Amino acid sequence: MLYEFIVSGIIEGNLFSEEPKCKGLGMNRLTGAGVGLVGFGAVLAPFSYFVLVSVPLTTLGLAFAILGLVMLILPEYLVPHEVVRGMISGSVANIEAVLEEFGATRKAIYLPPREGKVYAYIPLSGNPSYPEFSEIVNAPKRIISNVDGHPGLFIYPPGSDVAALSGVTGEENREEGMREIEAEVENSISYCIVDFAELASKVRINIEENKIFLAMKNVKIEVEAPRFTRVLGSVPVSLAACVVAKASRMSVRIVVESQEGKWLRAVLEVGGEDG
Amino acid sequence: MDRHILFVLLLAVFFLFTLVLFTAMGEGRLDVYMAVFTIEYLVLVEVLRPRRKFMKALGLDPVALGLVIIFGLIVTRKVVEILVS
Repeated sequence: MLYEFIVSGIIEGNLFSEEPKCKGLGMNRLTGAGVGLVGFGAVLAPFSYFVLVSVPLTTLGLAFAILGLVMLILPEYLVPHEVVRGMISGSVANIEAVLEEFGATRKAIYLPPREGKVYAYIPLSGNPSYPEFSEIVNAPKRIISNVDGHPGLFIYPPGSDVAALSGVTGEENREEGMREIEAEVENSISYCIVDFAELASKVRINIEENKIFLAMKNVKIEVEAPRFTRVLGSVPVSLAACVVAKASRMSVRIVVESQEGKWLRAVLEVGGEDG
Repeated sequence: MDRHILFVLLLAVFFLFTLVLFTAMGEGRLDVYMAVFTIEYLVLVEVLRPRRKFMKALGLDPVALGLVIIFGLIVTRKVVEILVS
């Protein structure tokens, strides 16, 4: 197993491929190698310690076991970054085309999740005011909808599913304000942007009343979509807005966004019962 | 090279290097090896940031948690030894 792992996994670059699976065990190659190393280490370490009385061999066994455990905790399926970037670009290009078609220019409102999905309401130009928040939430989720006399688009932003997949949750019927859920929102954004989606290397968050000051360092994705960025924010900021909407179960609006050197800064406004 | 493969390879190289070096120096204390392994693991995790399965409640991966606990026990034992002696 170790020989197969070295030759096929490392040299041929198939370490993280799903196939072939270890026969009869239903494991992929990485999991199989991990289990093998843990098993070998678990036998070698106590045998060396108690029977051979050799610390170096005991340590060798422990090293094998640690390496095996590391392989077991790595994710089984790794999609190359380029593929993810391409899929996000495609999704953004579609939304960009819809926004262009309808001439949308006003900032979107990210709505609290409904059936696990975060939607964004984009008012169409013509009516200068936003409709009542409760009207937006209860409006039928069609692409084009008329909310209390305000025509608008309901878009399913690319970050909505990412936020759902990352395991970010918000409690139902939340009654606290932003202060009570500051820590949860901070952790959720940081985990989702840096560790889960890997869109930036560092995130700094500062929450003041109903405003979230967000700074992301070394953003790893840039999509050329001016209308999308103007209305829904850039991809990472849009994802952050989805996470906040999901975690806080409140509406979110991206007030301003700017690039300052390596830092992408944005201000999100949370709440706003009047839309 | 994918950073997850790099992480596993570098960890193996670091462990092997530590093992060979310390054995050549005649080091016979198991806790010294474990302490160095723990530091190497945590440093590599921080530098390469591989995606791992997390224990959400603690915000740590299970291997890091296990190593940190062992490291803590080693340090505690040493402190107690020094205080007693």
